[in-house]
This record gives sequence, C-alpha cells and structure tokens, in this order.
Amino acid sequence: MLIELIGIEKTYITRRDGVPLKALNGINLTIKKGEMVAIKGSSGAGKSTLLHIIGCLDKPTSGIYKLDGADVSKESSAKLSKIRNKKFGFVMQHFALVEEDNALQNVGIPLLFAKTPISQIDTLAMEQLRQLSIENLAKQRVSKLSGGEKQRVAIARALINQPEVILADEPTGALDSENSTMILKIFKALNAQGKTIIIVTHEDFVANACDRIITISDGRIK
Amino acid sequence: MASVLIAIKLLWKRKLANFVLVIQILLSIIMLAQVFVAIEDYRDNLRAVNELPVNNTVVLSIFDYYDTEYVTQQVLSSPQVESVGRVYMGDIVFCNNVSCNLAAYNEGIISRYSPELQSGSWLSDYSSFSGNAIPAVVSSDMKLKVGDVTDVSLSDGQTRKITVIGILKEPTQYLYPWGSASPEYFTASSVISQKPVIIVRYTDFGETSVFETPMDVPITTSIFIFLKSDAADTNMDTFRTEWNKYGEITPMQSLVSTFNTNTNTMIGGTTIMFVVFLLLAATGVLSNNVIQSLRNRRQFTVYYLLGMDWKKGAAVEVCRVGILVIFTMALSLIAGKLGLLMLEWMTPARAFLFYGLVFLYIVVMFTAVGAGFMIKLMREDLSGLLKDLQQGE
Repeated sequence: MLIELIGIEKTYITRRDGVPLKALNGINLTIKKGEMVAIKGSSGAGKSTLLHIIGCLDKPTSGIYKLDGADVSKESSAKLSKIRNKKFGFVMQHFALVEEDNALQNVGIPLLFAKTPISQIDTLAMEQLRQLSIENLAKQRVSKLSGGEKQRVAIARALINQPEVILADEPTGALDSENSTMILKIFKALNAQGKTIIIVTHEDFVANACDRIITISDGRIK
Repeated sequence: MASVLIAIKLLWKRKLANFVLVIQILLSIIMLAQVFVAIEDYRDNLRAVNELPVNNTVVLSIFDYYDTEYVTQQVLSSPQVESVGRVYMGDIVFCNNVSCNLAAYNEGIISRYSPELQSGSWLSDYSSFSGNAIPAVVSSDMKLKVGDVTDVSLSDGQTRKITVIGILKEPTQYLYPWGSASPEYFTASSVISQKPVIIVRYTDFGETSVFETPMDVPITTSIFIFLKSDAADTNMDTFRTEWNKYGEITPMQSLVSTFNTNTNTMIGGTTIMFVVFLLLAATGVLSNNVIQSLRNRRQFTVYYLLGMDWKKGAAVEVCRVGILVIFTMALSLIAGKLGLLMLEWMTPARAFLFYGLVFLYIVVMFTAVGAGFMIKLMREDLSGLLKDLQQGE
C-alpha cells in the first residue's frame, strides 16, 4: 500500500463568519503503487482538499495518513516539505510555473530544494526536457509558451526528482482537446513506467482513462 | 547557498523595481543629510550663543564712521561700566599648513567668556606670558595638540611663535563679532564663527598691523559693555540715550533670549519637516516594497509547492533584504565620498551617528515589509495560497 487514508477529516474555519466548514468528512482510501486513479466530483466536493492532503500540502484535522507505511499526518512542516520535494510531482490546472523564468530554470527548481549541486541542475533539467521531447523550449520564457507547452514543462518539472507519485489537479482544465489528449497520453506513458498517478478531474474522458474512479461528494467518498 | 541564489534571482527578476527602490531610499537619505546638518547647525549655534556673556552685558554695534578705540574710551568713562570686551580680528593667517582666523581677545572678554574646550585650558588660566611663545587656544581643525609650539605667518609678513594651551570643542564655534548685533539682524553668524582659528590675548601679541581696519573698508565693530553689578536695568534707557549716537545698543540678555526662541522654533520646525519628510519617503519606499512582496508571494507559493519549507523561505527573504541593505549602504558611502551627504559639515562623531541612522533607516525600510510578508505567508495554509495562485491566473 503506497497511500492509506484512515478517517481523514479536514475542517476549515471560514474567515468571514468563523463558522467551521467540513471539507472532508471521514475519508478512507487506499491507493496502491502503480495505480492511475481519478478523483471526480462536483465543484466544492472536496477534491482539491483531498489532493492537497495526499500531497502533504495540508494537514488533516483528524485521522491518519500513511505514506509508504509511515504516518505523516502529524509531521512538521519542514518534514512535509522534504516529502513533497522527493516523493511527489505536482501538475496544476494553471501550470504554477514561474512565468519570468525559462523552461530550463523552471524544471530545475525542485533540484534546488533537493540540495542537488548547482553545477548539475541545468544538465539534469535539460535531460528531463529531452525525455519529453521539449528540449527546444529550454531557453524560452514560459510566459511565451502555449498552454500545451507549459503543461509539458510542468510535467517535466514534476518528474525531475524521480518522484513515486504524480498529483495532477485538473491538468487538462485550461487546455484544448488536442493538448488534453496529448497530456493524457503522457500520463498513461508515465503510469506504464510504474509511476502512481492521481488526477483530480471533472472531465469524463480523463477519468475513464484511469484504472479507478473515486467519486467524492460533500467531503465523503461515494 | 541555495537561499542566496534564489534571493539573487528574485532581485534580478525585478531589477528595475529594485533599482527604483534603492534610488528612492538614496534620495531620501540625501534629503535626510541636509535636514540632519540643519538641525545640528541650529543646535551648535544655540550652544555657542549661550556661551556668550549675558549678565549685565550690553552690545554696542558701532557705526562704521566712528573709531572703535574712541568709542571704547567714551564708554569706559561711564561710572556704571566695569569693563569693555573687545575682539580684535585679524586677516587670514597660516599656521601648520592651515589658513585660519586670528582673534585677539582683550582682558574684558577673556574674564567673562570661556568657550567649551575639548582639552587644555582657557586664556583666563594664564596671565600675560613672559616666554617666547604666545599662549593660544586653537580650534581642533588646526591639527595641533596641547603643548605644541609652532609658528604663525601673519599677513604683514611677520611671524609669531605660539604655544597651544587649549583646543576648542568640536564643532568649531567661538566669539567673532563682525556684523550688526541689533535684534532684527542678530544671527549666530553675527557673533560666532566656525572657521579654523587661533585665539590669543590681545596684549600678548605685540605690535602688528594685522588687526588694523583699512580706512576704505566700512566695517561694523561690536563691543561688549560689562556693567557693574549695581547698575540696575532701569538704567538701560540712560545707556541708550548716552551711547545711541555711537551705534545700535542692545542688552545681551534680550539678544540671546530672542535668538534662543527663534532657534528653538527653527529646530522644532525643521524636526517636524524631518519627520514629515521621513514619513513621505517611507510611504513611497514601503509601497514599492509591498508591490514587490505581493509579486514575490506568487513565486514563493510555487517554491513551497515544490518543496521549500518556511525556514528556507525566511532565509531567502533574509538574504534578499541583506543584499539590498548592503548594496544601498555601499551606495550611501559612495554618495558620502562624492559630497552628496554634506559630511564636510559634520564632525567625525556626527558623521558616524548619521551613518548609524542611515543604516537603521535602510534596515527598517527593507525589513518592515519583508517581515510582514513572511509572517503573513507562514500563517496562511499552503492550499489556500495555491487556490489564490490558481484564481489569480
């Protein structure tokens, strides 16, 4: 078992009126190594919150989260940062790239936090771009790239530290159908190589391409 | 190392905005220097003017068509007058490779007036000398020390040997009345000079023409009339009636009191101006810094997503601020060397104080927003920041 969530709850205190909002209500979920899982649900169902907890971007209010057998639900922020850097790769709907940097610089950012020697960063980043056949974009500013190119750069960045899990939050949400298909192909290829892929989506063609669909509604898994 | 690298990247990315920020701070430092010097100048003048004798003292600014010696004798003949204080002002002289004023005080001045010294003794501690070297009190910018014996080159070609008995406290300020001392025109510069100086006892100096005023040069001389202690204030009208024909007569007390009031008002006004200006400058600088921090917030969110922890984030911000502080401080030092900060108007101790204030100012300007930015980021949860990031795009 790679990812195991037991009784996970997440409550937010809303800023406006101080009323607690339960985003996740007793989630029990296991994801095995090498699975490609889609998390579906309507807007506000708790999909992104679930993804953030899985990706150690947020801590559950209660419950246990085991990652590779180790309980990470009560780990410190510093430890969670290290886990995020090493074990997960993130692909977001709007790419979350540094627009003023070029593609090579963006791909190299996770290596900075992994304490990779600075002299090796560009070489490793270039190799990653080559693996996705986008080495021609290396020196181009990200702000000048198309949506599809940006998402491929984001995927290259997500893979640079050889993570076990790729977490994607609506990765095709900002793309046209041609680019969406292309991105989905990349995810399928990565999954075939043994990567665990977890995708939050409300697009059926993305969900249907996955091994399993988890539907979430009002903070609960249906 | 990674923190420094990221900090440099962040700075370089916004090089134009950072350049504007640094220039804003530098310009405000240049203005601050002028205000600092103005306030210090006012305070110095206050000190110097309040060292002047005031009790039972009136000042007579003699009309230029009267002979000063004649008027002095007329005044001395009055039974209420104890003595007359006079400063004999000579041409520029040279001593120890410094051109300076030469001021010879008579006994009346020496016994009633003693400026603050940083070392040594005042002329009143010495009676007339009998040796070769004339006792002299000099300003610190003469680069002499107590006990030094040196030659003074006079404008008439003669030389005199002096022995230094005292050094005036910095910044140089001493009695040197050359203008009118009437209340309407009284400023510190009418009676005080800040130029390098050698002060001697008039009777020690011997025969010389350096104190003689050329006939064709109309000059207002002021003498200090020291009244006997039993001369009551009501006699002031009598004195005016008696001496008005020779010049403008004003009690020293009212002169100094008027000067103090005006100067304190100027100090207050300049200080308020200083504070207002500082607030305006701070507003401009902080606004720029806030905009940069908002932009950096987006970038920091991406970095946190990819595995940077809060400590590293704080380290990056500290490095960024540190680089800006060092760079701006270095530019301030260069501005000082180029004469933009009026350092030549400050004593070394004041220049040190000024740079200390500048450093504090720079650090506060850069860290205030940076600290607020980091605290805000650390308090927000990462998923909230990511949602803002997604929505912002």
